Amino acid sequence: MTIPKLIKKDFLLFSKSISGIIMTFAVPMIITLIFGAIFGGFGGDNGISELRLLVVDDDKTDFSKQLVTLLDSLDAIKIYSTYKNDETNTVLNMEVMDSNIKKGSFKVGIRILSGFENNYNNGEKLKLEIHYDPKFIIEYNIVNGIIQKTIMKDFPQVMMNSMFKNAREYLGSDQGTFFENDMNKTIEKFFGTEDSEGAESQTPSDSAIKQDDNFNMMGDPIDIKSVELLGVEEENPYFAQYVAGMAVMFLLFSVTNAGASLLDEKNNGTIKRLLVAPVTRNQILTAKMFYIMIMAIFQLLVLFTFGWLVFKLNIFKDIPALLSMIIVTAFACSALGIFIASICKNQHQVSSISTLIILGMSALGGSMVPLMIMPAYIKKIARFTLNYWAMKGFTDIFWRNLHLKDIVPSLIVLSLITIVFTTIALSIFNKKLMEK
Amino acid sequence: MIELRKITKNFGNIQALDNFSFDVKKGELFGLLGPNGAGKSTTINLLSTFIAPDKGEIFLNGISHKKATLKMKMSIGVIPQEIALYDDLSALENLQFWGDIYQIPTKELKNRITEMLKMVGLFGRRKDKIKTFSGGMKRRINIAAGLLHNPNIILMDEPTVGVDPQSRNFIFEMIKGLHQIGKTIIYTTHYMEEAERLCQRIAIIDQGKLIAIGTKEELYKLLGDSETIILELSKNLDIEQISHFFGNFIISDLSENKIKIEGINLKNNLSEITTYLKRSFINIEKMDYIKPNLEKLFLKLTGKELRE
Ligand SMILES: Nc1ncnc2c1ncn2[C@@H]1O[C@H](COP(=O)(O)OP(=O)(O)O)[C@@H](O)[C@H]1O
Ligand SMILES: [Mg+2]
Repeated sequence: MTIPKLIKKDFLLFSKSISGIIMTFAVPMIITLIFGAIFGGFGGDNGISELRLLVVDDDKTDFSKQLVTLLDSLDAIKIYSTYKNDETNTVLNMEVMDSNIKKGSFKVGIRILSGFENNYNNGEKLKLEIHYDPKFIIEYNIVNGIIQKTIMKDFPQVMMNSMFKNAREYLGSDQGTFFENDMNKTIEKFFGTEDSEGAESQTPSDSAIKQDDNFNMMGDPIDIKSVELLGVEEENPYFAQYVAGMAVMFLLFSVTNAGASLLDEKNNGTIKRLLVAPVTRNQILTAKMFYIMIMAIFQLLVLFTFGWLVFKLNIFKDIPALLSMIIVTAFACSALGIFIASICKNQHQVSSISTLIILGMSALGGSMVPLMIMPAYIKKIARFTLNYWAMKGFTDIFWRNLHLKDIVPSLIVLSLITIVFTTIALSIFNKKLMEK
Repeated sequence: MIELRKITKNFGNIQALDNFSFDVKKGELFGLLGPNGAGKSTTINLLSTFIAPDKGEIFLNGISHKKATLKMKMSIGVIPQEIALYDDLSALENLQFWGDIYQIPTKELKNRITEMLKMVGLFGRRKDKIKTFSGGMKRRINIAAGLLHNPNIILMDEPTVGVDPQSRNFIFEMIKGLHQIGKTIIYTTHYMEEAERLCQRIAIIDQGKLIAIGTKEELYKLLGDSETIILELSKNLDIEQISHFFGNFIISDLSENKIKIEGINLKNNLSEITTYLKRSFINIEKMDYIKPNLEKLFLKLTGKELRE
C-alpha cells in the first residue's frame, strides 16, 4: 500500500522538525496559559446589548404581573415569559427556562415564587429566584439590581409593610411610629441614587444555591435566591473557553502549514518524482489529507489533555460528544488549511495569507477574546467563522453540559465546511501538481 | 527501445516541442544537447510519463505511452533536474522512502541502498541530513534515488548542474559504469563538452525542434572539412590587406591583436601565413588550433551560441 508509506514519510518529516513540534504543541500551551491568566478572572458582558430576561411567574397574581410589566417597560431589559410550543404561545415554566439558559439561548431568568402577592400584603419577604449561567455574572448582577430597585421604587409599600411588620414583632404595635425617620432615610437610598450598591458588589459563591444577604439592614423585604445552572463543578469555568479557543486557532496554523508542505514538495520536485514512480495524484492527495487530519486530531487531543491537567477542564463529561467534536473540528480545520495552501504559490505566501485569515477569523470567532464581551454585530459576523462553530460545540460540552444530540448543529456546520473546502482544495491541487 | 514519433507539446502559447522525433537503441548512451528552454526536460517528462504529448506517440520497449502501465513505470529510472529529495531526512531515510515507493522488498532494498550509497561514494555520510550536503553530494544521492529499483532505462536530466568538478567526474564515471552494464541511458545537458565526452549518439535540440542527430563524427561532418586557427599577434593587423593574399581563407578580427582564420586544409597552408607575418615584422605570440566541435555546429545550424 502506497498511501500509508506516504503518511509515514510525513510523520517522519514532522518528527524531524523541531520548530514544527514547538509550533504545534508548545506554543499553543504557552499562549493558552497567558490568555487564561489575562482573561481567566472575568467573563461578563459589557452590557452594550439589551438584556433578554426569561420570566416564570408561579404566583400569577395582579401584583406579580404588575412587576413583570414594569420590568418589561425598562429599556435595558426585554422580557420573555412565553414560548412557542407546537405553534401556540405557551407560558414559560421553570424547566423550559432552565433548559434555555443551559443551551445558551438565554443568559438569565427570574422565577417569581407563588405567594408573592400574599407576602406583599402581609409584609413578608417577597420570594424570587434568579436562574443564570455563572459565566454571565454581570448579567446576573444587573438583573438582581434592577429587580430590587424596581420593587423599592415602584412599590414603596413593600418597604413600609416590612418595616411595620418588623416593628410590630419586636416592639409591639403601638410603638411602630418610632421608626419613621429611619424609614424615610432608607427609602431615599433606593429612590435617590442611580446605582444600587448592593447589587454591584454581588458575587456568586462556590455553591450553586445561596441566600442573597445584601438587604438585611432593616430586615430584608425581598428574598432573592440565586440559582447557578451550569459549570458549577468546574474549578475555573472560564478556561474551557480559552483552551478550546486557542486549540482551534493553533490547529488552523498547524494544518495550514502541513497543507503548505504539499507546495514545498511540488516546488522541490519530490511530487514529480512520486508521480513518475508508481504513485498517482489521488494517492498523494489522499495521503496528505489523512496525514493532516490525523495530526489535527492528535493536536486537539494533546491540547485538551493539557487543559485537563492545567485548568482542570473536565474532558470526561461526555466522551462521545467530545470525540465527535474533536474529529469534526480537526477535519474542518484541515479542509480550510489545505484550501489556503491550495490558493498559494509557496510556503512564504501561505504564511502571510494564513496569518491574516486565521488571526482575523479567530479574533472574530471568539478564539482570542470571548464573544460574550463583544458587540452584537461582531457576534453576528462570528457565525461565519469556523472558530465560532468549533468553540460553540466545545463550550456546549464543557459549559452547558450538553450532549451529542445538542451539538448536532455545530457538527453539521463543521462537516459542511469540511466537504466544501476539501472539494475545492483537492480540485485546485489536482491541477496544480502538474504545473511547472 | 525508446522512440519518439513526431511529438508536439504546447504549454499555453509556448511550443515546448515541435514535431520532434528520435530513437534510442538498447544499451545506448544517448545525449540530448540544447540550450536552456530547448525542450530537454519536456522530453524527459514525456518519456517518464509525467506528461502526455499533444500530438505524436512515444514507444518504450515497443509499448505506446497511451497504454502506459505500472510495469513501464518500473522499468524507467528518472533522475530529475531538481534535487527531488527531502532535505530534513538523512540520505538513508530518503533512499528508504524512495525504495519503498518502488515496492522493493525490505531485505533487498537494504542491500540495494548499501550498494547505491557505495556507488555514489556517500556510504559514510548516509546518516547525515540531505541539507548538510554539498550540491555535488545532493546530486549523487539524487541519482542513487532514481536507480534503486534497478531500471533498464535511465533518464538523466542535467545531472551535473551546480556541481563541483570532482563530483562531476565522479558522476561521469558512474554513468560510464551504468552504460557498461548495459543500461539504456538518455542524458540531457546544455554543456557540449559533456555530450561529446560521454555520449555515443547525440541529438541537438533548439526551441523544441531537432537540429541534428548522429554520432559525434557524423555531426562533425556536418561542419564540413573547415578548420579554424586563432592567432594572437604582437601588433594589430589590417585584415583587409591580408585577406587579399589569402583568398581561400576567411579571416576575421576577434579582438585587438587577435584574429581567426577559417578554411579547408588550413594546416598545410600554415607556413605561408607565418612567412607573411614574419616579413611584416609581426610576431605570433600564441596559436590555437580549434578542433571541430558541437558548439560550432550549433552556431552554424542556428546562428546562435549554445550558451549565452
Ligand atoms: N509546465 C510548463 N508550463 C509552462 N511552460 C513550460 C512548462 N514546462 C516547460 N515549459 C516551457 O517549455 C519550454 C521548454 O522547457 P524545458 O523542456 O524545461 O527546457 P529545457 O529543459 O531544455 O531547459 C520553455 O520555454 C519552458 O518555459
Ligand atoms: Mg531542463
